[in-house]
Amino acid sequence: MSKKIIARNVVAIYRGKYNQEPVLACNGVDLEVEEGAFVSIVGPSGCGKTTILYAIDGLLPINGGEILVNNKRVTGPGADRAMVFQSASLLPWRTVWGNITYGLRLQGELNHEKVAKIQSLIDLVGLRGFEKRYPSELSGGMQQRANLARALAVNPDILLLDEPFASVDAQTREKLQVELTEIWARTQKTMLFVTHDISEAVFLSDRVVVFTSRPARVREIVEVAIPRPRSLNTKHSTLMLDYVKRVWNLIEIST
Amino acid sequence: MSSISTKQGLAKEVGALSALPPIRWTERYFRLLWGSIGVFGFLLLWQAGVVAGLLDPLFTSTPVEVLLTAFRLVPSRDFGVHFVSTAQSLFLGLLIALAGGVIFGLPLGWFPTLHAIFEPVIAAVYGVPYIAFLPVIIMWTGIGTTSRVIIVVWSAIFPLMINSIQGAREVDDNYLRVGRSFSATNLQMFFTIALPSSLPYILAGLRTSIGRAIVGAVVAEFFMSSKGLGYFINLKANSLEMASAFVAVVVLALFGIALVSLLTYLENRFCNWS
Repeated sequence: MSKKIIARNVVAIYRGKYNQEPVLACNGVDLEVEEGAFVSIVGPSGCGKTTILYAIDGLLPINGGEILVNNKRVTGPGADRAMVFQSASLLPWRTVWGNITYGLRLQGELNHEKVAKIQSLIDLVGLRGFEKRYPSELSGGMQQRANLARALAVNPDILLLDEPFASVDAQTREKLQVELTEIWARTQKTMLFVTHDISEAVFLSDRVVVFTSRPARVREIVEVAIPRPRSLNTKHSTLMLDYVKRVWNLIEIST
Repeated sequence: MSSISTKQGLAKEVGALSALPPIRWTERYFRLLWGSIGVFGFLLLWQAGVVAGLLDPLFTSTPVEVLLTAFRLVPSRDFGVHFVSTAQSLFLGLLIALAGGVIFGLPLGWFPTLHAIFEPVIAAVYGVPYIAFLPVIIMWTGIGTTSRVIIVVWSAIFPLMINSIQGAREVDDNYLRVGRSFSATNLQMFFTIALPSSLPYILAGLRTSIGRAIVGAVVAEFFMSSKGLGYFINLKANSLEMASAFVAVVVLALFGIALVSLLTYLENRFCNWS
């Protein structure tokens, strides 16, 4: 299995916007993600999880170490990666359809065949019938579905997800988690998922990477050997709870 | 709450709703009704004031006279020429002000260095009553149609520029990040994110600019024109033909209302999301 993402000894400094003090977010992060794997990153608040994700997407320059995607150094955003942001960030002046096709339009790659594929993508995320609506008319959960569809529409190799379900209510969140595993199983994309929710991380992933507190390094990597497909029932199984406890303890030690 | 949960309950609910008293038309058109009463009352008082000898019709005219004059004046060619003259300088001036305000304002809001350089100057000039500049501008540009347009542009451009600056500054970082993550070029970032995001600000600025443009056009005509509604009002008022002057004033007001209504339509059509 080829290594899709390789991060070696990554040092990243995060500079806030209004001339805030620069902050050392990552100090020697080593991370590897194989093709088709679902890997989560968890850790204490503000530890640098999002920073490493943005660095892998090419939105943030790194100050040390290297990040390789498909064995090529990352120098900026690219068509092989797509980000699902925490706040849905759907462009409010575009319809759902306009938003989902946004990436394709930018690349100039929207044509008839693509249109059919987008329509099946919309079905996949469960937004059929909402194509002509505007983001303000959608619930939080639906916006995140559109957010997901927008990232999938450009057919990236790798999907980077930054706490996409954080601002969604608990019931919708569980639903979306199951849907995400189904989408992952169907599309077989490599997924790197950042979250605060430990049970979410264990439920979704093959492996959970635990970060230390800032400046972040990898504390430990937990292989989640829960058989797939996983349903919501799995969430209450003892096996799952054991894993959650294990990850919790690792984070406790860090803080 | 459980009345809705069963089919019977639903039927009961719907039945209850249809038994509600219908909305009286006086409630639905409340504002229109009372607004019309207000306007009509004002006109009535005006006419009554003249009839009772409290108001001198030589100076104030009467609503009836204004109305009759309107029927005579508005369809006339003479009046039409004045109307078209003002309308032309207004439209041209507003167009130029819109283009200039947006083309200069957006980059000024977007690039922090440009903003730091120009913002104090713009704020200072905006603080001065724009009409105060008019005699100076007339000296610079002379008399003629061009100078009228320049004055309209001068009157209208500042709200547009300032609002464009604001719009560009307040483009949400989240949206910019989305653009970058999809490898948008700078041009694409501008047209797909910055411009649509700024549009509500620009249209809001246009709202203010329309009012200022009309004032500018009319005042310019006071000073140095031989055509236009402003010139017409000045002429008629000076010759104590008040009814004619009032007709022109009302026409101007309606023109302004029409422009703003058009703007509101555009806002609803294109900026519903904000």
